[in-house]
Order: sequence, then structure tokens, then C-alpha cells
Amino acid sequence: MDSEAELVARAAKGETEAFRKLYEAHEATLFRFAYRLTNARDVAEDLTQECFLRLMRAAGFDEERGSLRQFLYGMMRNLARQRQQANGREVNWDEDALGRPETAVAAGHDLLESGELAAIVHTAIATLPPLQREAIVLCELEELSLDEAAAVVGADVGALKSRLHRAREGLRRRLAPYRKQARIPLPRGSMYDSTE
Amino acid sequence: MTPLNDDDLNSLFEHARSRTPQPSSELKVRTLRAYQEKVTGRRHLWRFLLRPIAVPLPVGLAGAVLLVWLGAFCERRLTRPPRPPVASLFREFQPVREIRPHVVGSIRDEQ
Repeated sequence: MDSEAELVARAAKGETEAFRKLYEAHEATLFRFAYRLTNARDVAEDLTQECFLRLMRAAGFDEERGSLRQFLYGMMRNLARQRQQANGREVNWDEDALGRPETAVAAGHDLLESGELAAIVHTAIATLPPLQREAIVLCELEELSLDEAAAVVGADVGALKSRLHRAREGLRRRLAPYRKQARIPLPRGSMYDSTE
Repeated sequence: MTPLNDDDLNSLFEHARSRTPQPSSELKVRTLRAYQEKVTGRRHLWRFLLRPIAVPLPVGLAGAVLLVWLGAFCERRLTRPPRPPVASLFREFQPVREIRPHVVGSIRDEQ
């Protein structure tokens, strides 16, 4: 079986089959990450495509420095950032930057579909400042370890922990109206969108 | 309102993890197409330009002779001695300083 570095090298030389294998192995992860960063499906798709094409042009992947998945996470993070700047939106990536104003969430619904609740959580995460948002997405949703997530964002573990802590504090307050729904366990055996 | 505790927040994260939209089926198609245009397309162009072609021997020889002749011709043009500047061609001619016109009635007048 080819290593990831060999697959990338072969795909970069024009082997469509190697590119297809890479794509199928990482499409779901990258799209999911892009969606969780941007909360917009069409933007997430564009970023996913761009990420794979950039991988073919980039000479920076070194297996000894980390897995391809980590490398792609870092690339996607940078692409999402560039997209926000290109859209002309003033995005403050400072540690203490304020997030977006909280949107009025539809509190008071006793029964929410799991999908609706997930959408509310994603919306709440999207209002966090960018650095806190990516910390929450990487550690809580993508379930990377602190070391892996710190490598992706290019920060030390201490700084990442601090961002994570502030993000969780913010989300505790914003999602407080959904305490009741949070305590309803996820139904087992139901049909869910596969995440892998 | 009291903020959520850790367990409640983690439960909400679990909900968020369990439900994420999937990419459309077109994404794979258009990504592969873009890859073929941008990556394999470039490779095809280079391969096309650098591919070997079969040429009959007389044509090849004639082409080689033509190239050699062309090279010699160009070299002769390049190494020809430079023409003197225009001013030096007229060095023997002195400028006219005075003009004294006179009318000549016939050629016997001159004599």
C-alpha cells in the first residue's frame, strides 16, 4: 500500500487514480471541518475543492512532521481565513476579539429534532471569535488532541487551552436556553448523516 | 439564565457531531474535473510538446543542411565589417564658401 506521501506525489504528477484515492479518503473530513468553520455549505464545498487542488501544487507536505490529515486541516484553516478576508469582511483574529452578535435563537421549543439542535450549536459556534471558534471545532467537534490541534493552528498548547476555555464559557451562556434538550440522550439506532 | 454545566455542553457537542450535512455528489465530479484540467492538462501539454516525432531521413538531412546554411549566413551578416559613418564619406568635399554667378551667353565667351 502506498504511503500518503507517495500518493500525493503520484497525484501531483497527474495520476488521476492516486488523486481519487486521496480525495475519497479525506473528502468527508475536510468538508465537515470547512462547514464547521464557515457554517455555509456552498462555501465549505468551494473550500474543499480548493484545498485538494492546492495540495497538488504545494510542496510542503512532509510525512515526518505529521499526518496528511493534520496538514490538510492546517491548509483548510488558512483557506477559510483567506476567504473571509477576500470577502471584505473585517475579521479580527486577535485573542480578545469579540465574536459576532448573538442571533436570536428560537428558545422555548421543548421538542427539537436532533438536526435542529445541531444547527443551533453550529450557529452558536459561528458567533465565536475566529480563534476560539477553530479551537472548539478542532477539539470538541473534530476530536483532535490538544497537541494535534495546536500543531494545526500553529499555537502552543497553553494558548489553545485558554482559547478553548473562553469558547466553552461563551457557549455555556449562549446555549443555556437549550438545557432541557441537552439532557435528552441521542436516540440510538436512528438514521443519522454519516460523518466519516 | 444559569449557564450550562460541562455535561450539558458536552451533550450538545455530541448532537452537533452526530449531524453534519454531507457534500453534494457534484463536488467530487467537479473536483476531479478541475484536477484533470489544472494538473493533468498541464502535463499533457508538456508531453505533447516534447514528444518524439518520426521524420524521413532525406527530410531530416535537408532540414539539417538548411539549418547549417542559415547559421553560416547569419554569422556572416553579424561579422561583416561595419560601414563607415556617412560623414567620413564626404571628407574630401569642402563646403562651398562663395558663389559667384555669371551669365554665360555662349561657350565662346568662356574662351
